[in-house]
Amino acid sequence: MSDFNITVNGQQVPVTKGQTVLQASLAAGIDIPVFCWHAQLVPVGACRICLVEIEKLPKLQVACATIASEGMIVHTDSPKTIKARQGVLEFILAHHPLDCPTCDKGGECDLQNLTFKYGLDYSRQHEPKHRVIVDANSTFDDLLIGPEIIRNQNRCIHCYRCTRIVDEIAFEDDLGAYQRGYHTEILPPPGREIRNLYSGNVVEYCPVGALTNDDWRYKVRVWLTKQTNVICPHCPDGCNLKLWTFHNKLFRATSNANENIDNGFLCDIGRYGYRYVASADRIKRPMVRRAGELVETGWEEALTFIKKQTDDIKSKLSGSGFFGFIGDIRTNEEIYAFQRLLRRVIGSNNIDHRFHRRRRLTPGEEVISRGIESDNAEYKDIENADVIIVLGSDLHSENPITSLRVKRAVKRHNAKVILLNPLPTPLGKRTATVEVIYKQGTAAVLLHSLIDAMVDLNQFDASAVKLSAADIADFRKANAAYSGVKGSEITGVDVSLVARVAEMLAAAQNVFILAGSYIERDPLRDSLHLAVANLQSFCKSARKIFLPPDSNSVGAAFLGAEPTVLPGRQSWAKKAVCEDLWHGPISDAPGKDTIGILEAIDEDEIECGFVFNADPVRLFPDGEYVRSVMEKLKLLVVIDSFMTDTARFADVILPLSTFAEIEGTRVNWEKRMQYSQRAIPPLHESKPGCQIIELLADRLGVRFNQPNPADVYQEMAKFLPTGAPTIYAGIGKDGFLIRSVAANKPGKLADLRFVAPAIDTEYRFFLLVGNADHHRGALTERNETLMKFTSEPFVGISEADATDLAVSDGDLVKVESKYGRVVGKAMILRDFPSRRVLLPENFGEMSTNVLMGRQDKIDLVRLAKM
Amino acid sequence: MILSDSAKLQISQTATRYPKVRSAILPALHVAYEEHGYLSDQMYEEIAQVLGVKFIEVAEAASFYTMFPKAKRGKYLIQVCRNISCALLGSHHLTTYLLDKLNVGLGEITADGLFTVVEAECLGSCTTAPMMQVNAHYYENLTVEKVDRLIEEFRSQK
Ligand code: SF4
Ligand code: SF4
Ligand code: FES
Ligand code: FES
Repeated sequence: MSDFNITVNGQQVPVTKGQTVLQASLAAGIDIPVFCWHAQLVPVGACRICLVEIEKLPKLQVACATIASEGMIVHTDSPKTIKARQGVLEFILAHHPLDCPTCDKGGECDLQNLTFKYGLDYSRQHEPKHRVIVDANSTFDDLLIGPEIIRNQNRCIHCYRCTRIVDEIAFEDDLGAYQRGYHTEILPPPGREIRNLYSGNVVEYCPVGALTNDDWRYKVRVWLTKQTNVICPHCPDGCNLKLWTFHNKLFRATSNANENIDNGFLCDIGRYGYRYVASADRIKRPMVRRAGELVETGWEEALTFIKKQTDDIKSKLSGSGFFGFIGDIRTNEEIYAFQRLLRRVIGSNNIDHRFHRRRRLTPGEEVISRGIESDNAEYKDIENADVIIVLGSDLHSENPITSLRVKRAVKRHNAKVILLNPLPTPLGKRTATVEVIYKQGTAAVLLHSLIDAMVDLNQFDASAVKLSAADIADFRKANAAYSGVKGSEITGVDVSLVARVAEMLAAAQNVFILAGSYIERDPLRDSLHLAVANLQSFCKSARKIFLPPDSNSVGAAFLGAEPTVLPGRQSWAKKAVCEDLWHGPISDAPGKDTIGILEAIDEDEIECGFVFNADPVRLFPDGEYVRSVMEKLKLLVVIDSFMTDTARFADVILPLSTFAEIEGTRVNWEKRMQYSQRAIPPLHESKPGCQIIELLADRLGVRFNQPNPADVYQEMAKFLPTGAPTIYAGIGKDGFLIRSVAANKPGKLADLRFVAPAIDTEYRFFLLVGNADHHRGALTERNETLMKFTSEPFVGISEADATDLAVSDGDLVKVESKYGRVVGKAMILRDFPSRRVLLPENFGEMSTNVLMGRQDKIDLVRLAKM
Repeated sequence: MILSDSAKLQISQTATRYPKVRSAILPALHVAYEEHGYLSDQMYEEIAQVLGVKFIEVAEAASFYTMFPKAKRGKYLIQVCRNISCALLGSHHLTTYLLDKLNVGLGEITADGLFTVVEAECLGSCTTAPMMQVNAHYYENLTVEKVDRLIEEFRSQK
């Protein structure tokens, strides 16, 4: 693969054309010191520590920015280079404080390490060191430049990694370098803070202690800590984290760079997310309801209580009187063991992980046969696309690291980014080529107008797509009502804009479609998926990913957390395999999905539920209904780490350990299964999920002898695709992909039968529920650090509506639907379309689900100033 | 709006001369400085908007150069070189002399609004040290008498 060789320190080093001397040397295992260079950033040659000697060149050259050329003879450890390094260090140290004993970077500081290795033990500088004084009354020169970041300018060595990460990687603008020479100051723009979603990376990649984080400061020394490799549980991107612990306490999270996924960057949600683990609100001991009150008790008492109550219900209703909900943030092992508990021990197939969705489950086989599941695609495929469509997604807030890949595709090869969304999103500002805003509920029509406009173009090459002329003609005829001006009337998108996007698509060689939460949440999701599949058929080459809602939604669907599919997405016909492994029969009674379960409770057919790290009361889109139904249960066992809205209805609560306290595997949106280590032992009296499930199974009559995730994995591995590792030790750093055999085959073209959402004259606003910046899920609400960024819910409205209602920023407004109301502070959003309200999901003070009805296809509300 | 329409037009025209708009930031700053004699965040913002670059790019570039001050200056900006050649030949003394004579502090404006004295790094005229730059012109081989004469001249010209 290499194009030629160069000689480094007498060794032949292969070079791929375009590589720098540094890159080639590093790849060959030859170390050259660096400060300003970073693998993901464009080299700037600012620090000069990487100077090397290249024969025939009169002066030393910076290895990081010198392109290797054939025949070069390089010396990286000659007396001349060593002397140069000493010189560079002497210059840097001339104005660097002797802070190491009080600097948090001590022990992992590049400057400290290189000085130790190469530095001189004297300095020729006798003048006082330059000092940037922040507060004349303090000996410390610390300055808080964002909610979490502290700057000490004196320690800065002007490598500009921080500002380049903010600019080149994050496409943000909240950190810059002002002035020059030793007067240089790293600062946010006047009047602002550094608080972008990726802000924590600047601390991690500052080579010295100039930028530090609040969490780590003055608390622990790095050499005393232990590191564990963990998979981030906060979103389906699946970034790799390192958790740093000392005496079983968590002190920080940093990236554990994985080039397949995160390239060494994390979003702040992942970086600071771990802090909920040590929250004082954790459920510390088991609880049982006595005389109407939840009171703390021991594990033994709680299990006895469950056993007695379930026996009563079982004798009356058999297994079908039970159900289980499990949250998608749990590990595969827990999900697998939980559905096994339900199916085999309790005798019920009523299990779902989609407790936050109102649409009925589309059976697995149908999903596959209709071509509406995600294709097999990876992060690197995003980078290979020349056109990227982000459909119905606030990708920035929902999939922060996927969003960075999109930016990288723009930066590296000018990929075009098309946003098709019901509202403007942060990605629109600097990343998108076109931003199209459609009327809520009309995405499918928009996709069809696009297809129609594409076919009309000269650039459209019918021979390059695998469709016959007759297919195309039929399709256009059947869907004529959604094209051109007619389509535009429905979607509210200008015909010329549709034409512009269609041109980009027709010209594209490689399209990547990322469909997000506004598609996933939609009660009509399946028809949207079909529309996406149709669009795919009209592109020369396209891949589609339907982004899953949570960190392990893909794993949950794969491992049996849906009523009608067995682990490994096996159909019912394969149940003998399960019975064999699980030492006994499983029920044939068809399982119910979320909505079916709730209805069955309502009709007294189900009396007992096991809810495992799930909060339907907060999230099921019909707040009133789900509350009334939970009320009716005879026995509700909640297994969770916090007192969730659902847990308040519980009869028994079992304290559950969090992601840091357990090991296990998770599957990200690429369908990549990765292994996550345990960082600390369970806190309080909580237990890891697999252990709790084993205890329950044992108490209820079946012993699996698999209290540890490693044991569960070995059994579960039998359901994984052939070739998958059979034990944890076999899972490498790259994890492995559980590819779907059926994916990547375009389905048949499907006609769109669009029914316009009924508009109510009284409830004139569309309700959009989304994610707020730095806020994701109920867990971030228990995280003091993340709450510093976005501390309270808001009611997002357009400028025009604000004027109409005479509302200013921060005024209290009432959002009301047929079903209920919430109150929150108005936030006026620039460029936001009118007649829409944006509410963040997952703030306890503002449960958006009380505004929704389970039968509705679209949510409508009205607004009033309080 | 601080920048005049003609300044903005000039800035957007300048931008077309460069393959990358970023390169037009410095000429744009010159235009703004010439119009107002100083720069401000508001002007950075307006330049950023006209050029379609980030505010911070303009702010960073402006802060790098001494010729883009954020405070108003006197009509005559006197920059006395303080680097090695000039220093050896007494530039520090000249600076003190000027400040005393004009009764003003370093970087301040004289009461009549005419003068501001600042120190500058080597201005590349070492062979004629000590020297100073007044607005766009160099005055070289300076002595106290020469400085006296120059100040009188500037005063008379107003
Ligand atoms: S603050 Fe750190 S990362 Fe930023 S320029 Fe200074 S040394 Fe480099
Ligand atoms: S992008 Fe997702 S997986 Fe990655 S760190 Fe952020 S929350 Fe975690
Ligand atoms: S690493 Fe090469 S100049 Fe900084
Ligand atoms: S030292 Fe004054 S001009 Fe060079």
